[in-house]
Amino acid sequence: MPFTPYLNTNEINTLIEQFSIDFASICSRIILPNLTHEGRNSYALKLAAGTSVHRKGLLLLGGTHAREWGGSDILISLAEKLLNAYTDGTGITFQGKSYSVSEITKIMEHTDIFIFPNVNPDGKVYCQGGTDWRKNRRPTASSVGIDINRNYDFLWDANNFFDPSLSFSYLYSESSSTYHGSSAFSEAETQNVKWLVDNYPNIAYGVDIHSYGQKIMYMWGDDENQTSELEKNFMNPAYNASRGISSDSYGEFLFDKDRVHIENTATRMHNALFAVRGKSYSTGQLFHQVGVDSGSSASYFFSRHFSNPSTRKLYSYGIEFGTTFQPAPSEMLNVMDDIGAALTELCLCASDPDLLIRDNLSDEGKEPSTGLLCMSPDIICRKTPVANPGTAFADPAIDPGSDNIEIGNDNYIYIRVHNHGGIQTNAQVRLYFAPLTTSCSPTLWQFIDQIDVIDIPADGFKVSDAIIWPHVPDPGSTGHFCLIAVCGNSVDPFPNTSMIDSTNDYLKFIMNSNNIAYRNVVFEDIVPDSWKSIRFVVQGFRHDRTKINIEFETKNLPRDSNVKIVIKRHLLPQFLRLNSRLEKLLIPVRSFSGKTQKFKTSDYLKIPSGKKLYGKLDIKLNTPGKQDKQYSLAISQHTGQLPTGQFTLYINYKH
Amino acid sequence: MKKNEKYLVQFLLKNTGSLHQLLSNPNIEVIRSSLSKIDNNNIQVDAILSESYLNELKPAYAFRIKENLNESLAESCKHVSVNDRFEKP
Repeated sequence: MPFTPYLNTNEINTLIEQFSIDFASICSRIILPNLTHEGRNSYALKLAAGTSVHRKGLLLLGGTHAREWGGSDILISLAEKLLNAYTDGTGITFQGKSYSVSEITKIMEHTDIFIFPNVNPDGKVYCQGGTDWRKNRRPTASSVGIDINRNYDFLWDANNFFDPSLSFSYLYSESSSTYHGSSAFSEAETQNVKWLVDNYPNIAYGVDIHSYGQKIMYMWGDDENQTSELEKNFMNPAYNASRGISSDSYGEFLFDKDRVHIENTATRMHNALFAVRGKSYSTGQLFHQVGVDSGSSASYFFSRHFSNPSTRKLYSYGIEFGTTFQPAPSEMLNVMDDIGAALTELCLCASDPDLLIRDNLSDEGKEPSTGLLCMSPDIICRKTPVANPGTAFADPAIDPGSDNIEIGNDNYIYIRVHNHGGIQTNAQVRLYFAPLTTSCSPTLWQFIDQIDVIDIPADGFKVSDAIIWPHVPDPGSTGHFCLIAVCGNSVDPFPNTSMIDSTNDYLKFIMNSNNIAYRNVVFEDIVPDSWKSIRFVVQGFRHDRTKINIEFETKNLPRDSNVKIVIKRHLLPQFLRLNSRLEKLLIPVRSFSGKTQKFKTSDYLKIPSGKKLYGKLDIKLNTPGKQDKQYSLAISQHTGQLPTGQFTLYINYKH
Repeated sequence: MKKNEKYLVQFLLKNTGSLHQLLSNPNIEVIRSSLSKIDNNNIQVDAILSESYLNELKPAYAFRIKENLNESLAESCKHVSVNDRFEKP
């Protein structure tokens, strides 16, 4: 039922309900948990078809500001077009820009589209009653209303986070149109948006639609974007007096791959919009387009994965449509096409190929990742070629395990590359090895070979042909191997490692790169009553000033076993206090001038910036254990309080 | 001009310092999304203010009135149904 602008709140609610009835199999209504001050319910729509598993979500917001009516009309119109087109098997045409049947199918079957078209219903009702208004309608001590788009938890208390020369009185005055409330998320409207992103963790894109200004904007909003200094970020209090000034030394950090992605998607949205009828929206960072941002949805969305790494990275955009708050209805119909095309294009971006080599079996590709990083089930080593690897390694729920690397022989490595997108794709895989190390940073990687993986199915995976590692050298003094697989293509490029200068950089980098995976591959066989020496590397980073701590963890070494650590004496100023449970098992020693000395504890290693420390681990298992039992000893590296990485020795008895 | 009317006004500013001055005035609602750079020396931005502030700001700023917001809103409201056009009987 095509409509003419402008929808009122009752009409929006009716259409949401009607869509969920008429298109019940592909559209559902979500009742949001928080009533507005005036007691209104808020509703969202979820559009999703097909059975694909790995689908990204998009959250589209409209009607945040009371007077900016058209955002709701844009989103209801888009929902209707997508639902009708998918049901009827047609494409969608927005004047000069068309999307084909296959593109609409790809969007509907490989993304979840969450549409919250009327974030601030109280405000819309009030404004459509004839009073110009921006905020919600909740009374404050001395006035009425809070600006919803200043109430999100991103540098909300602006006076404490920005350069003191900037004035934010407009956020703190209750009578101001941009009053930010008594605290972040004080309002039902922002709580409803937060509820959506908290409860639908696959949401990976967020768009907040406003009027006016003809702009497409993306994060960050507090300062200029920069991709090289991770410590310069909104959570670091050391820079609380530095934010908000252009062309100074502070910029807000994001990874280069994320910068490239948001710029590319914004450009695609712009080009789609332009194709409709030739309107050219200015495209760029929020900070440059509208100035310093505090408490907005766009910066809040993208900040979530920094402040809470268990949440998914959520790329965020703001659109300012039109040249007035309420364009004339005939023009608003054109604007609905403009923005409809831009949003459809973003949905296509969200269903683009997303390459993944998993870190562990439960890895769903979320960035940042959580969980074990060093035992990828998708890096599979074999001593002999596998006749049909696609069949042999066909079940992604199973870790096929990995053979030991055979020194001096050719070894065969297979990589399972996943595609969490809605279209078949190709990728290139690069394989590296690193010596046994507590922190497997890219400076230690040594290239083995690369291979193309063709026709990786949508929402599926493909096993590569064998990457042959010929005549594998004896790791000798460098100990065991770790294999690292990295994949990329033009849509999901290889990550740029050049920004890694510190342990923190490295940790954030690997957590935010789902197309890199690691696998420790070597097992040790130990003869009882003889010492076995294993050499390892402890990595320092260029800009690290913190000290490194090496810790040991074992739960099941046989009684009376001995473990020694040999490290240059000057690196061990004090002794490490070991877990009392381990004291019987661990007898670390230090070595200098050819003489070995036992000690019980050690302390922080002072590794010069950017240097590597070579250590030696000696193990003697005095009492034979059970023949069928595998023992393990984990050695982990901590930098300050941060766990940086670890290797685990799997110990079998040699018989 | 009518009393107690709200006006949408376009300011021509020489620098971002002037913009921050406008932003810090609680009686002016700066529409930051309208911000645009004309050249290296001039920016323009829209703002909403009541009639009483128009005269107050005249000596300090260069601006032009774009529209009477009350009138334009009244015009827009004509296109909003007082009923629910989609409610089924």
